[in-house]
Amino acid sequence: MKRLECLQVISSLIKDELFVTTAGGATAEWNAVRPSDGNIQVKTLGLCSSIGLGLAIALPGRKIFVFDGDGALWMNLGSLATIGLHQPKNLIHICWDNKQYESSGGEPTVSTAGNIDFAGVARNAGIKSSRGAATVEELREAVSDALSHDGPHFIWARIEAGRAEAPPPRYDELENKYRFIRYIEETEGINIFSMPMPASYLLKKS
Amino acid sequence: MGTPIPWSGYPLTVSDLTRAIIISYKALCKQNSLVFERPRLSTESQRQLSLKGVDMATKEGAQQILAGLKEAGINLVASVPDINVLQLINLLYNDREITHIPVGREEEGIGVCTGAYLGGKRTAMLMQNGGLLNSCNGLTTTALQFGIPMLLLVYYAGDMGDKAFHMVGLATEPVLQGLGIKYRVMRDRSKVKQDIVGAATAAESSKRPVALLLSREVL
Repeated sequence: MKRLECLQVISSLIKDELFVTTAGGATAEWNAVRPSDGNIQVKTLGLCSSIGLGLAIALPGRKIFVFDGDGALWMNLGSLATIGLHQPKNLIHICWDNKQYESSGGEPTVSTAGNIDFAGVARNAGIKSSRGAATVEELREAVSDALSHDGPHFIWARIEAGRAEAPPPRYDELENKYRFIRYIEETEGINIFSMPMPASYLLKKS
Repeated sequence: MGTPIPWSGYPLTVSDLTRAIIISYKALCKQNSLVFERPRLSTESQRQLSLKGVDMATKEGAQQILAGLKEAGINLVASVPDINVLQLINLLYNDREITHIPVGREEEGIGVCTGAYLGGKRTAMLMQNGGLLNSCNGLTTTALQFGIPMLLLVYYAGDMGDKAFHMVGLATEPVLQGLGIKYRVMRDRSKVKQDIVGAATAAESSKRPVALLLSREVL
């Protein structure tokens, strides 16, 4: 299956879920399929799963998607154990496995030899709702299921290599952050930027 | 049960031997109070460790730091342990106001703090300075590039008077300077609260990580 087809399916299933996307091809394609201020584009390879975990803990009432890659997940495989430890119910972690470092020119990853079962790794790290998807239908079923049940969920999506045409990101990281937080403020009805500075607490009390 | 070991000269079996090894290992560990228990030491074990020459952090130091974190509005702390912050970790495990997120590697913690900040938390990452070195890429390409405020509470191993990890101690301040991360070495117990609240305010207003190096004097 192609990643783009899968992303189109996901976009038809979701409403205002938040998306943390990896430093890789999935990010550009996702922003083309669903342009939204609710997407944050990670720059550190491997860190999207940890950022997604933090976001899921901070906003337990909101579904958080993480789009990871096989190379990225290999770099931060320990994050599966940390997610397994903390059990965020609202986290849906999808690893788009194209068996290569596509953004770096197609070098092999841990997945290329075919020895690793990422879904098995996730399940044994404590993410019970963990499954593989090799067809668009399997992926649709896995995502619908994840949206309607408590997680954490892990989906190992085995896709063809190759990147669809997608425009480059419109924002730098700072603008991405401001837009993302403003979006959360509006949709959650909370204040993040306008919290008082810590030192003002001391002044108030003295 | 099991196969007798022919060369032993005794009617011992492999499982006898294994059991004996496990029992003596458990006894050894119990003596040192380090394994098979949650990271929480009794006063008595602390006293024994002190007698063995391990300087233990005090509960008072940890309580002051925890109070400082609350004063600064920190409500989520990710952590990787060090023996010198053991007391603080124990307090965090039992604290109800602060969400405590143990992680396996420090760079994960930078990610967790980033995500939690995006969702409205005020965060700190508690670790040793070796872990600070571990998390440099996350700090630059995530925390600094996106402009994410977070407090880095870093135990200063290899500081003056600290026997182990002198190389890490040597690298710590130049690395923070190289990353452009503002920092302060905490040395004065009476200024713990001010230091923490000040650092959290600096982090919040600059929207960057700010580091506090925890020396033994304050722990």
